[in-house]
Amino acid sequence: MNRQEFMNRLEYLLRSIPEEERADALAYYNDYFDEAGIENEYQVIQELGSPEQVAQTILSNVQQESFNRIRQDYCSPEEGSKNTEKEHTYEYTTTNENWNAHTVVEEKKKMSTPIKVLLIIVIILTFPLWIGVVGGLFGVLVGILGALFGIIVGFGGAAIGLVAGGVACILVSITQIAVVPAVALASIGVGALLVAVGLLLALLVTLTVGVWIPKLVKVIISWVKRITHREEGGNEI
Amino acid sequence: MIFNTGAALLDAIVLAVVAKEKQGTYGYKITQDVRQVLEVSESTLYPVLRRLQKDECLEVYDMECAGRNRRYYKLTEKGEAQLRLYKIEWKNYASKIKMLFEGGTVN
Repeated sequence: MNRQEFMNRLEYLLRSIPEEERADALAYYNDYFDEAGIENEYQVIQELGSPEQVAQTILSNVQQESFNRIRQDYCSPEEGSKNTEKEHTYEYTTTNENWNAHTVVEEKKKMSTPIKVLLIIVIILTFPLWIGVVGGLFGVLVGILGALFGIIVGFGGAAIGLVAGGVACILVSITQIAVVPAVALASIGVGALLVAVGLLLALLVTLTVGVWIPKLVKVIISWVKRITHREEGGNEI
Repeated sequence: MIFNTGAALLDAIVLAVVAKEKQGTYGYKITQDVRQVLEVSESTLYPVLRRLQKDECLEVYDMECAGRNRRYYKLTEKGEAQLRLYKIEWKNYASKIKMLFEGGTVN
């Protein structure tokens, strides 16, 4: 088997993982072969093992990661399965890892409980103070969203009006070409301009709704995730 | 190599190898350096590098080299902190085993 056959086979074996992951892995091994040089090609293939072996390590890592991500969100680390995952792939020495995970969880518990209780009491006592602020903020948010919605609908309507008006203008002007040629030609130009501006507005509205708003939503979601993740991230050692 | 290398130890070794170069190093060189210390298959290291990258302990940058693209790995601040932690853990672990093997009291 030569390098090309190796890489082709590897690409085929990785077909089930996301394209970006696959591209990264293939780029890594292609670079590896390049660095080793053509003279070492055979040796590299010997040391890498079979494409099946290489693909297997990559695949099990990808599966493990998505599994851990799901578990991180819902299970406490004490259930210990994170370590068992690693045990499965790497024949892990369990004692140290389990011990480590334990102390981290215990420390976290010791610190937060009295503070948490105090915090809850303070929140309840100051209820009348903050409910007004929260209500006001909520109102502002609704207002902003309403304005955005209004703008989008307005622009959308304007776009439609412009395009329709422009087309009508062109059509009428064409019928008038025989009667008043110069004026008719000028009107056709104006009509075309109206259509162009209308289409531009339509494009802007479509972009905003279709692309920018979903992106904004994604960014906000990832912020929220990062904040909630940071609290859990401390468990990983 | 009689003793199995767990995932954490492998991570620590890779971080230590990358940390030796201030500007970072590239995959092939990392593999060669690690293999001077451990007998690992060359295909073992790519998943480790990838995991460290996803955990934000390593960052990557590309550099043109002799007409090709070379991807460099470099320790992040988080990676440096993680490596310090690993070194402390290793010291504890190794000294306990040493005491066990060489006699004297086990704490």
